[in-house]
Amino acid sequence: MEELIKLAKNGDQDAFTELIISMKNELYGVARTRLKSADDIDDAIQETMIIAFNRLNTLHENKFYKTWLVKILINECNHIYRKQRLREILGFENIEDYEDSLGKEVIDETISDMNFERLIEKLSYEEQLILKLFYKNNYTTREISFVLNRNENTIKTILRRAKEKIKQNYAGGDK
Amino acid sequence: MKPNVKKFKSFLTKKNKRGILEEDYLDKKLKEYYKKVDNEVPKSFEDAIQTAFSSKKDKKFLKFIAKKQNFIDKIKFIKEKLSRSFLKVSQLAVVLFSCLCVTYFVHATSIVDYLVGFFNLSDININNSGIEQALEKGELQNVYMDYIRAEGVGVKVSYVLMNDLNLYLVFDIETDFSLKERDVNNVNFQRLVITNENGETIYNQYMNDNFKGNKVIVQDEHHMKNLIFMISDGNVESNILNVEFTDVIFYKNTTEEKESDRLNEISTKMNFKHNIELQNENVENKIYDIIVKKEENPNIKISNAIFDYTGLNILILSDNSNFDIDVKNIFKDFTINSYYIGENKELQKREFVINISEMNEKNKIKLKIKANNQINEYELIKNR
Repeated sequence: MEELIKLAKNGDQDAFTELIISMKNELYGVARTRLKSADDIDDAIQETMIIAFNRLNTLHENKFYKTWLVKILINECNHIYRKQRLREILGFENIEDYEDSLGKEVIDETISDMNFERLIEKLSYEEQLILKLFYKNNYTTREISFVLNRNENTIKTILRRAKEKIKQNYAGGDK
Repeated sequence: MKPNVKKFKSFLTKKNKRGILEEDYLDKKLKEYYKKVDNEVPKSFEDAIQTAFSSKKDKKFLKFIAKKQNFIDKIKFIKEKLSRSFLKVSQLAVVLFSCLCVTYFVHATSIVDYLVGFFNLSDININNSGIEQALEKGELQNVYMDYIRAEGVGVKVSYVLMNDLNLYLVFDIETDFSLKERDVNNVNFQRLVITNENGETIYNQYMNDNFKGNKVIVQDEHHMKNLIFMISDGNVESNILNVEFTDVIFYKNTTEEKESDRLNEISTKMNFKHNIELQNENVENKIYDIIVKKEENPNIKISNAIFDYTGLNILILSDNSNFDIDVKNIFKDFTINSYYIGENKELQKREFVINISEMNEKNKIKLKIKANNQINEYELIKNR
């Protein structure tokens, strides 16, 4: 990875693309937490790549490339999301059923998994994102605090509260 | 009301055990759930990555934005670098001065005094004056172990002190890199979990609120000590502490969190696992019987009172935290610390520990608790 970053810093677009491909699952998961439309997700990753590539010289410590890229992607997703919401509110576009356009994979889920997914979907965007970064991407709370520009203790509190909400919703009959 | 030690301990641990079982289950469930999601990336997403630099998007426009941002970032970076290099001189002076102070301290006073100074947490706003007694009585336990090493960093536990309510752990840290050069003054262990021999969780970084603080002393260019202090929730009967964490993060502690400081953090992956055998024979507790003299407010109760080397610890159950405890007539020179330790779901109340630091053990204590202009009066009588 170190070599790919060095090459990318010297202007090698292929090396940078390879770097992004190596973390595609992680980036897709993060983008999907905010954006529901496949087109929006694709837009977000492309814009992230162009911005990140042009800003590579601001990445002083190469080993932080992952959190750095995720941070840029989250900002891009939020930017697209806000634009999307504004269009919906102003009535420029019909609200689409984005779920269909995602082409959701049919997974052989057990009933309990489906319920669990519902419980997580009830959480706020920020809570879902933090849970995903922590449990899916194995980020430390300190890394998450860097990515989201928030105090580490706040991240810990949000993490705890999100879990508390899942427990409460579960106990409250959302079984 | 006749309290006893076992009841008090099981009262705390039972609740925790139940709570922790739920948490462990949820944690496991979340891990399982996230293992399954987003493992398949749609073809369109991969195509979008492959064609990012050659897509029909208005690349010029995007590049203009990116370049503009890049320029702003560069200016910010230069400004920051200038101010940082100016600050570094003064920071270095502070570090050198601190090191000199520590060295002077060790040589000029006895080792107990040094430890008392190190364990004193008043600089992080925690009054734990009872620790002095514990240290003088030799209740601090040495831990003998080799450094566990990864990526040029070694960590070992050097001291442990644990009783009904408090757990102190001192870690020695050795680094290949220079702490001064990397401008490090603090350290954080990520995913820190402490369990006992029965698998009961004493502390879990992401589930418990009982972490009270840490104190770091940079000893020299490659060595530092990290004292962590937490409420141990009554697991005094543990014989073995299993200490685990996954990452060590070195960073600069500043009053204002700056992105540039974050980028300079040094993160080391380390599967730290170590069992500490506890020597419990020194721990002594005196239990008080509680007699209710007057109860105007039934929503607040004293459920237990224990005297140990940290002073008098009174466990209070209350609907809210707004209450005053009046012991002025009994103790002369003391400080009171109040710790919120959690919810008691069975009794639908919140639990607090009031620690009164005075070391004079009394046979009989009269005290008042005022809440909502109502007064409850109690008499605590030493049971053994």
